Amino acid sequence: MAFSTLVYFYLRRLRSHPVQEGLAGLGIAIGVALVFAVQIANGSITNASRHVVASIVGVADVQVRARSEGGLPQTLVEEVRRLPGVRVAAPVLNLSGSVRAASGRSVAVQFASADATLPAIAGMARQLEQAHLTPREENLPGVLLPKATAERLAIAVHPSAGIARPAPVVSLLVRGHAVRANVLALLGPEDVGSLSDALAAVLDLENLQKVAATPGRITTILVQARRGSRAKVEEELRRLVGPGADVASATHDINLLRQATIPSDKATGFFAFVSALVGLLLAFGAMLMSIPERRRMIADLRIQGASPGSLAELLLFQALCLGVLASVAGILVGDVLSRSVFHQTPGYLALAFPLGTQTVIGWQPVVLSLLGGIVATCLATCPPLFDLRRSRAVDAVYHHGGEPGQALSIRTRTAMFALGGALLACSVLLPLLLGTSAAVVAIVCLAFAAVLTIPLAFTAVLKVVEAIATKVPDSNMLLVATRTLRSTTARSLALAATGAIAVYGTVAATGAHRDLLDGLYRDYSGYVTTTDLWVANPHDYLATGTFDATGLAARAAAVPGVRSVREYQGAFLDAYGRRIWVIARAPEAEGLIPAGQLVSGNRAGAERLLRTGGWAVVSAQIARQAHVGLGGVIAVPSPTGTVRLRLAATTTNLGWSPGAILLNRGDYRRRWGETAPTALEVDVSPSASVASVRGRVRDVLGAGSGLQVQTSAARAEEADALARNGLDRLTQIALLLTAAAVLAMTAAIGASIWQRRPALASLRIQGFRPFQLRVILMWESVLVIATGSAIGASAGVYGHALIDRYLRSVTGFPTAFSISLTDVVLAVCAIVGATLLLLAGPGAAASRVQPGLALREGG
Amino acid sequence: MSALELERVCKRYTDAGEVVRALEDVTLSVQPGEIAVLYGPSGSGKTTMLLIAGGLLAPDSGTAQISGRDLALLRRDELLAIQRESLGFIYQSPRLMAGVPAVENAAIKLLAGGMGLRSARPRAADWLERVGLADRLDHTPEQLSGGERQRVAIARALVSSPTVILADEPTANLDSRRAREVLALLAALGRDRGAAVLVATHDPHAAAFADTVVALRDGRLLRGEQAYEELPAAPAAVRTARPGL
Repeated sequence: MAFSTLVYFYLRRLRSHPVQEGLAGLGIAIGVALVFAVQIANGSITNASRHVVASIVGVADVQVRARSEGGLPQTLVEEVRRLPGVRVAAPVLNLSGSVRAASGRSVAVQFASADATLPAIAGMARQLEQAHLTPREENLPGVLLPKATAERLAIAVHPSAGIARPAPVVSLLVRGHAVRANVLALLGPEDVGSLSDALAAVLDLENLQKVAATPGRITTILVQARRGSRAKVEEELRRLVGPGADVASATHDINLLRQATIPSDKATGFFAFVSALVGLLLAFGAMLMSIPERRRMIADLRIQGASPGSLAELLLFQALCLGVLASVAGILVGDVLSRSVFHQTPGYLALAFPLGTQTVIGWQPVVLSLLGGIVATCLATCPPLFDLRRSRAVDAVYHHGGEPGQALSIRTRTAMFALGGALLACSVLLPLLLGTSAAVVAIVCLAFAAVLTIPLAFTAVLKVVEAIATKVPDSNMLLVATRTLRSTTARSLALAATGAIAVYGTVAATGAHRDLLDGLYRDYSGYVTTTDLWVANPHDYLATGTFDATGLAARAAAVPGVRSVREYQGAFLDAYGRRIWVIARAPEAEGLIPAGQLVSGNRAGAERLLRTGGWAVVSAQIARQAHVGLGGVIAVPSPTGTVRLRLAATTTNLGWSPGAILLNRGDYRRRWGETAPTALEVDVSPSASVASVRGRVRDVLGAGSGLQVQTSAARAEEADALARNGLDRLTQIALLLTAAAVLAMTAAIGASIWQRRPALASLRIQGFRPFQLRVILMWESVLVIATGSAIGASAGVYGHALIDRYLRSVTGFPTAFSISLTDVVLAVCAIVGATLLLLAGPGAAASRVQPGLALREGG
Repeated sequence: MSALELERVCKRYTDAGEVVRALEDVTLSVQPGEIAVLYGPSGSGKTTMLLIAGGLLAPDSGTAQISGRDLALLRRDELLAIQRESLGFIYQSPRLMAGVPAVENAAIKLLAGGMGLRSARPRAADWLERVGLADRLDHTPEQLSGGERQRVAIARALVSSPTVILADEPTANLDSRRAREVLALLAALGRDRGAAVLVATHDPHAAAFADTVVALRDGRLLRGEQAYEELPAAPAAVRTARPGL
């Protein structure tokens, strides 16, 4: 067929069926938008951070990094500079902490130092003049805030970075100290490139050491080796620093961050996959509505002598046009979503990584989304091509019952039901036989099984309702509704399938999402409620930042109402290609292993072993990576060399995506050489009020303290909020999915009602009142949506279980499967209710159709 | 008292800023048992006249009465009751519900009036018998020929025993033999039941069944010779008979 003919037919189709084409495009665009937005949002975390790290490390190619917060002696830098092959070496002090503005707003940041030697490696301070770091008030240190950090603190950002006048004063909270500082400059992209998008604070090295009370200590040495000397330099560095520090690539943090985001990326990606599947099936549903007239078109063109090949060409060309247009629209919407709704950077990662906040779009997501959308459209266009198998042109359409092209024989329905049953069996058997890796295939099988069972199920529902309507007095409108639905088979089934898929996706995704959040909350709740009060650095919900606690525990213990005080220690540890959360609680603490988080082993026995020392409890994914089973030995790097601990039990990732290690506090102190606590656990006497004791402990800390005293409930809530923030995208995807489902169903049913106005006009001429027509339309909608929703909800509950299994096994997140029938019913009611509510408008308008419309031929 | 009466009816439309006179001072009276046939070229206002006669469209001026009741003065529920019980409307495309048996299609009007399907079926079956479809009660529209479908539509219109039957191009989609069957049926039913029948059509054969022939041209109603001039290629037999003259 000539190209101009193909274009002509498509333009004619657009003119004659804009609604069907628009609906199909909407379904495809929804799927493409969700997938694109999630890809961009996921990729942006690491891409943005890569830019930030690159702008910090400049030309440095190797780094020496301390294994504990105690850091390295600054004098080591001189020794490094003297090593053969080293061109430049610069000291950096990196610490986690927070900045609080005068308004009370605060944000967790990574503190980074800069000194006169940094420009030599052309990194962060390349454009920073030393003058920027010189405080204007002798008694206050100066701090530079990247634009993104200043925005979070609501400090006015000047169009071009520059020195704010008058210089705002902020509080720097680091290692238990709260120090006031002058904001000397707000750093825009023209000053520090991508670092301007980071959640960070930059101070002169000496000032940061003073603020953190770590004189002469640094955490990192950035090194640039001479050309061809990198391997040798690395070897020399390892020899020089011994086991107390890691020697790694200067951009090693990016690899660790990428690893840290894998589980949440997988979870988000899986949810996006479910959304894409729903989008594709919504597109299928929308295309199904247009199948009758596509089949009629095929039959008519065959009668006119068109060959099957040219018809296939025509359909595929139309699919291609629709696919390209809808996918481009989806990508544009996805771009907006990724910059607005999905833009939230997971706050919990800021505790351990230098995070960027900008959106970075690569070419891969664009190409993937575009191709995916086009292929999906072509697949959805295929069903009418089956008519080409028939030898007689018009058999497919005109020799069946019902409206032309609407037919679906009982034999076909039964065959579809049988195929649906087979797919359902696959979705059950595949995960059993192949493990959770088959969950994705099982989810797809389940979705198609739900769609394929609809025709026969819908027939059965109609028969039952018809029988009821015939017997029950005053149910004529219900009877007419069933008759109408019977006469528009393909359309009714398409609508029911749309409802089924929408509810399936929503129930499965929201159920799994709720389980994930519940699992996380139970974890944190179990973790922090073993004591009454927590004293720790603000925003440090994992309690990994040390603070100067000389005599503090004793003073707190002396506070009236305090029963006991325990020093808690935690840290991050780079091992097994991931940044692991280390938890070393006092042996006398209760609940060393959070309840419900055990994956293998015995909780009581494992806690007993932890208390004795020499044992560890490790997240299952770390144990798997280390190939260690229960009772086996796992090697853990420490400042004093490799520590060998026996594995007492495995847990979930405890909500920290790279995983966690729980070990005995004595082991930790001995092997890490770290005595400074990262939190104090304060038990309150049963007779005392927790609130009043909290106030008294805060008084003991004094006004200059940078520490925070929280009740366990408040800490659990804060941690829960942070975890929810980390999984915000899943919430947003689930919400968008529900909204998309409601919109898709409303659009599909609304369009169907609108198309049927001539038939409604005919009923008006037969004496039906507009009110009666509204009742008929309502019954039709309820029957279609309820049948689809019931099937979708049933499949959704099983899909929810499959997603849970997948998330727990593949991502290590602490999901806990639970079915809440109330939630399922509420979700279904919300979708059905919202759809019916939105349909009230088109329904009311259609019921007032002018009767004369029935008299127009072909109208 | 006339079963159907239109008096000085005017109706105008605005199309692309231009005023179109669909009906201009139209007066027509159809008595019980009388068959009136209305001719006119496409767009001459035939459908508009039927819609106004059936109370489905309000005239700009003039009155439409059924059994002496001015439709414009009726309350909405009264008008609906008249449309359901006293009016039978037949149109070019039968618009039957696909996949639904003929008897249930014919019963739809009774269902609208609140009658249960069990009571409505025998009455609809009775009417289908009268239109010659006794052996097609449970056939769906797809299993019926065009003429049979139109007869189901006629049964559907007459199932409430209306006093006025309005038919808009009822034979447009039928071959001439089927068309004559349908027209004969309408005429016979009208006369037997004492109903006033107004048929708008292009079919020249229809005049042979008519008591009165009228025509519309430029919105004005023509009678007598003038009306016959509007007949498209009228067969000799019709011209000779000239009913209504």
